Amino acid sequence: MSAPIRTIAVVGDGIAAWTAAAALAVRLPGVRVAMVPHAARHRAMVDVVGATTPAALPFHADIGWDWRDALARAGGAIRLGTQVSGRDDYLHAYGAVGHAIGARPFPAVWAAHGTRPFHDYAPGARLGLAGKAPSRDPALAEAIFGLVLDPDRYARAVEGYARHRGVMVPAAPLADVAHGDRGVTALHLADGTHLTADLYVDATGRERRLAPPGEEAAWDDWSGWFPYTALTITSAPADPALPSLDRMTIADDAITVATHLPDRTIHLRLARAGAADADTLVPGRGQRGWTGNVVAVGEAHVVLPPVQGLPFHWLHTGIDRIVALLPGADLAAVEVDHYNRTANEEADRLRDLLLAHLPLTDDAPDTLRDTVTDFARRLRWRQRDGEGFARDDWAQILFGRGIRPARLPQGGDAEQERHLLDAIDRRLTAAVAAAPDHRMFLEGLIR
Amino acid sequence: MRVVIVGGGTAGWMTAAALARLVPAAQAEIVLIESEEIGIVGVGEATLPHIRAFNTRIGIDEADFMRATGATFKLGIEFRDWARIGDSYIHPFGVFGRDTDGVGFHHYLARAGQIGRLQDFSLPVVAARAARFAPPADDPESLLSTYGYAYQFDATRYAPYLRARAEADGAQRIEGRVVAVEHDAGDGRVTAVRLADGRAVAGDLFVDCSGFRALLIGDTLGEPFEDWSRWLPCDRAVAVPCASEGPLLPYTSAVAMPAGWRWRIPLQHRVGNGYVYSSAHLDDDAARDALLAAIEGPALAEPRILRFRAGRRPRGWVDNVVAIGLAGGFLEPLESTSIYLIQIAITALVELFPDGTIDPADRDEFNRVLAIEYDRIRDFLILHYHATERDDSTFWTQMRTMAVPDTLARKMALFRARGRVETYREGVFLEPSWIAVYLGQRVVPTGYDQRADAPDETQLARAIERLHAATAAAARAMPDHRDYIASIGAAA
Repeated sequence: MSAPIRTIAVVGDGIAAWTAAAALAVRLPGVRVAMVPHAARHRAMVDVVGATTPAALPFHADIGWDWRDALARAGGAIRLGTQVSGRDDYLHAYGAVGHAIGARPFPAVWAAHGTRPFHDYAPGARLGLAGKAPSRDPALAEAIFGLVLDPDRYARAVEGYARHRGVMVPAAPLADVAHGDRGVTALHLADGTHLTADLYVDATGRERRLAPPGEEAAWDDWSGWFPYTALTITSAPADPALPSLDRMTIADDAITVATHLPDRTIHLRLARAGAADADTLVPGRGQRGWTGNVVAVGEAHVVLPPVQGLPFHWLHTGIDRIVALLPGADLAAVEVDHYNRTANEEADRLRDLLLAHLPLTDDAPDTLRDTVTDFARRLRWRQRDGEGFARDDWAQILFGRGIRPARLPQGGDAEQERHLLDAIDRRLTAAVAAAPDHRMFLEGLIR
Repeated sequence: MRVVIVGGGTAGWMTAAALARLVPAAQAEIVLIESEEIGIVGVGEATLPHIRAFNTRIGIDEADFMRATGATFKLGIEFRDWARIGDSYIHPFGVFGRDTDGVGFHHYLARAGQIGRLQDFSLPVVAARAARFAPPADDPESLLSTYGYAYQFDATRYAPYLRARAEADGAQRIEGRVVAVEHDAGDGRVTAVRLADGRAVAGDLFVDCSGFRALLIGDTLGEPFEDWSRWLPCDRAVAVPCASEGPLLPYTSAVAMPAGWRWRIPLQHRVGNGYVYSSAHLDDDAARDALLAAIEGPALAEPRILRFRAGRRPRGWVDNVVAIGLAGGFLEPLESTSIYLIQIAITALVELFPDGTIDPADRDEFNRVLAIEYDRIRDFLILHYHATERDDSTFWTQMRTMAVPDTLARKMALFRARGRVETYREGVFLEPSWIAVYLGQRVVPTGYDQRADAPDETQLARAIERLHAATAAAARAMPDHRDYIASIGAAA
């Protein structure tokens, strides 16, 4: 048996680095974790937009940090989904929508007889539109949610949590990285000391400071599919209503997103052509997130635009994957290859979900094209390897984009199905009316 | 749309019963042609748990079905003598132990140095060994929710049983032997089949359930057969039923033999036996003698010899012909996948059933779904043969030393390293199945998930013993298998 990994050095700063350090320290027994500071050259999206997906909740539970406590320390709100307008008007809320009758999935029931928008049968969407938060009502049991974290306060909180859980922080920041045949051989620090570890985690974002020489070229650029690369971020006074849905507008020249915090609203604009003060954010992924003894997390592996909570989602699931697939200290190729295959599958599915909001182009990735055409032909949806979202996430987006199936699955009693639609609508109306207001819900959590 | 099913074996009548029940009559008229002169292969006596969903969907009552087919319950498949002579393990329809904090139970056992005991932590394994059976429970907290079950039944009775249902649901049976296939010289579509008595049966969609003959998909449309015999060289089976001795076992056995393996399938009224072998390594007479010497009771019929070849047609749906069952491909019954593959094809056909004209995209999707299933089962089957230490016959030496598909080599190396299973979202066998077979075949991981080091050693040892005791107690509390069958009125 190969020796286990005993030491891990995370390099970077901001939320990605501290989150990785905290999670690895807590979740890997017998492993000592050091966090070597390295000032980021580019601000990571998780440090700017605090929107997460529902994956943030189990992620926090797994690192022993109750998400309610994280929210109380960092400030923030819950996030039920995204309200989209511009080209099409629709909502995407997390959680299952409606329920099947026999072999007929709910999307087929709706496509056959629905008179209201599809998202009106999504508990999270109804709550979000009403400014409400989930209650214990069984009709709302499927409404799951992510968080909107205040990035500045959360960065401090997660750093504090990491230190509290025993992450070691050297006195001096990174000065240089020494590379050998198998990857990094040492981290040279600014005070002349050096540090070595069994595994190095590159959390330096788009700089990819630990990438082995030559690895920079192994990069798939997604801006041909997602050309909105000029990014401007501004902050505005809070919306008194504190919406629990992001607002995204999609136009030909730009995509804008408003994410709501209790004390401010973060506005971002992703445009095809940048104004003078715009940053450049080119989406894409490194072909190998793990090479030798270096594994990249967050934007050091995959750059995703800050919509739909994708940057945080990728950070959380990526750290989970390192924990779940950690090889031994010998870093056997078969294990590293397995990690890379599954990581890339997941990244590509996130890319597809992102692109699903836009019109399908002639050169779209094959997997996305198949997903859209299967849905449009017969309402078929298959969970591909690496898929991180559920059928109903896709159904809300694709129905929302105006895609309607040419044919529906067999079966279905029209009267029974209309009755189901009415019953769901009535139950949701009653449950949402009785649910707590979003701000009240947050106050209840924090008390 | 007129659907003509050619062949009335298990595949044919399963297809007819499902289409008649699940496709609205206005959309499909179902005709099945079969000939009493042609027997059915009916080796598929053993099933996977998926069969229950199929039966439920077409409205079959369990006890009624079991009475009619002499069926018994099945909790898994026993493999004897595979990695080494004297070995025995069960691939159960259920999970092992309890996963904790997202870490598989086998990692904790490995950490405790007890991975060799894995079988003791599967309730269906422990119950099966004791010839006990009870249906699973719904409560996810209960140990009784950790397994599923299938059936072992008389396949020669399943087809007639389904026939009655299919005919009641409107399917029409035509007695006759197909002697010719007529197709349009222009677009290649099959237009009609001609019977020995001269009648022509026209249709819009043809389902080729003609077995290995593959009358339409092979003979007429010329879809090639992708041969997998370099990895799965067994190409014959000799089958014979015998009287049963001893307790009624709720599992099928697959016993490795010098040139293949032998099945033992306990039914209510008899035991099905067969020796699957490679004709390059064993002649028919020797196989017959070896089988007759191995069976436990008097033979109830003359041994029958079946010939086959492992592989599949790249496309099961070509033009307006859909191959279901052996016409589309064959994988030996080692993991009871024949009826499962029929079921997958039928489900895909129902979901993609043409609405007026056949959409090429529907054909492509059908072919994609079936290809994935075949490929993944193929690797799983090869694993049984290849992961062996046996060197007592040329057959086993060949299997042990052959080059396996890259997809399998990779999976095995990954498991050996740290007990991880390459999982996938489409395809039949899930993580517990792979773990059962890897360990049963002595593919033992050299490491384990590091998170399994988290619990205190003494507490872990205690938790393992508690689970062991609870599993044993849950199995002891189950009724005897034969008694349970009688208690639900399912005894023939």
